[in-house]
Amino acid sequence: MANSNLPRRIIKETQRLLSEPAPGISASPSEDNMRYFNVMILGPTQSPYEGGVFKLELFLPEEYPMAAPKVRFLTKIYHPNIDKLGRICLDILKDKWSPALGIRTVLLRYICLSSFTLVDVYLKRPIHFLKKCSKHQSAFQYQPVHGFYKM
Amino acid sequence: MENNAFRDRILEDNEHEEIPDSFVCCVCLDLLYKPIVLSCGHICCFWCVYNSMNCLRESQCPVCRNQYYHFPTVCQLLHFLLLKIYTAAYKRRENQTLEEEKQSGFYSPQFDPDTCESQAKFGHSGIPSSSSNLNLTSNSCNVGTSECLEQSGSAANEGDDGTIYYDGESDIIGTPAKGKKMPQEELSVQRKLSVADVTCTMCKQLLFHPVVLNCGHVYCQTCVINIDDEMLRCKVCQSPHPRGLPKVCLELDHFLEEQFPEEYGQRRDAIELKQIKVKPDTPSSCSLDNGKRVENIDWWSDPDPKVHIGVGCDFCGMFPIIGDRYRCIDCKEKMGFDLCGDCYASRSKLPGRFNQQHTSEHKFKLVPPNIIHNMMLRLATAQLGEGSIDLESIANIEVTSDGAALFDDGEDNHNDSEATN
Repeated sequence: MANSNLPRRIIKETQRLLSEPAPGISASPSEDNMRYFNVMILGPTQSPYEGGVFKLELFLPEEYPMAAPKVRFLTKIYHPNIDKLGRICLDILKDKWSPALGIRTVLLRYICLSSFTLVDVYLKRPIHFLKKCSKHQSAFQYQPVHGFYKM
Repeated sequence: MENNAFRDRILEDNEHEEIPDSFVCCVCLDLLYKPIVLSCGHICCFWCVYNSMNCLRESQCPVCRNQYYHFPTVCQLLHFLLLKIYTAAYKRRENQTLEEEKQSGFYSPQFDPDTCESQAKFGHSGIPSSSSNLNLTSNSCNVGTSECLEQSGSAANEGDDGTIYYDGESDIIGTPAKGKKMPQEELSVQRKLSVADVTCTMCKQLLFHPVVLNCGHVYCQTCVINIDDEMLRCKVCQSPHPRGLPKVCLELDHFLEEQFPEEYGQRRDAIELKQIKVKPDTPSSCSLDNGKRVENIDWWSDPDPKVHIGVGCDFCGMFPIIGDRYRCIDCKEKMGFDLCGDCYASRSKLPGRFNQQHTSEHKFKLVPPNIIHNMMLRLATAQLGEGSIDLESIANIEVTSDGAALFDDGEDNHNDSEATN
């Protein structure tokens, strides 16, 4: 069986993610490797990313939960905390990681990050922000809808 | 279709054990096994705490990030409490952990249910013997059934829906209010537990706002506050508790309030009558602190630190050891046996933090800190930032100078307690 040599913690987290999915988050493990998750996050409502669907990849290293999971955005996104390769700058994935945190908490933090980080920028300079979004989207051949991400 | 089958395969759970969230470890998401209560009051398994500790500097609670500097001892009261309530699940955890311990070569402490004292129960092969497999359920009748209640002579009436009603005359300790419904599951817990299982070490009454000291002994918060020593010292084992008063273990407190509502209410009323004023949570002048502990926290900024990375004291639990380190040369376990300077001077008779066969006849030798190793780590932490260092990769670096490895301090591997799990 695929999950026979996995730590019980990972099995339990996977079961909970599948049976009680967090709102706006869809995470399912790969059949080949149950440490690798395909994640889809819906753009939070009342944020510049509303209506968007973002794909992420999440990998649980051998040391998990003593070490943080590795997460990367596969969908290109314009965000000050995310680089061109989709790598995210998030405290809980670096020095603020704790074994009590899990996949669900990490993904929920991303939703919070995308909800609040750019709100001020968007409210102060909406035209500038939307232009940036549109430019970014057209570069990666996504269909912009009202300047937001839509797939 | 295949994806649905895969999903169902993951979701199927063979073990349908209902364990309340209060007794689920936040790290392994399983029933607490050999629980350790940190100074902030949060509970984790023995190995979960050990593995999450930082061997470079002070460690943090996985839940609240509260800093602690000493690896606590297993709380035996909670250990036997969980063993009584969730016997099957606890046995499963015991077997599961024992397998992992056999693979790693490190063993957690074993406990004798009669004396409740730590005892290393090793067979000839160095593996804990089967005598350490505890069985505390001596009652042969089905716990929680009306048949069992009739045998024990308690007054209970069974309703139409199979729920047992109490008439208030029952001899079960911690009974609910008169005529209150009680599910079978809760009843089984009630049958297994008595106030005697959860009494304060000092006042010998039901624990009220329980606090757990570094040595693993449990007291009421008010009993600990009333200790008039210049430093907080356990009345049972005389070991000092580092860094001020511990916080109340809320999980255990809520559990006691649910299980023994009458007795808990009486204890609350009695304590309110006394109107004991709680002292502020100030750091104690503990010998383990020596007033220098704050300086010791940032050892990497000290030009000449005496820190022993990845090595903890087996008596007081200081981790990492700062100052003198004494290592037992007679203990042959993979974990080894180490003492800090203070514990070596006091020659405490406390059991080790792990399942070592250490005796008072064993001899110690002073081990100097690996200065070059520490310097490399200081450089790495300065460059990479806190907590982002890979210890193993640094420990394995070999700078060949006259054919000698940089980090080889000439000690035997079998007795090296620097190996972390």
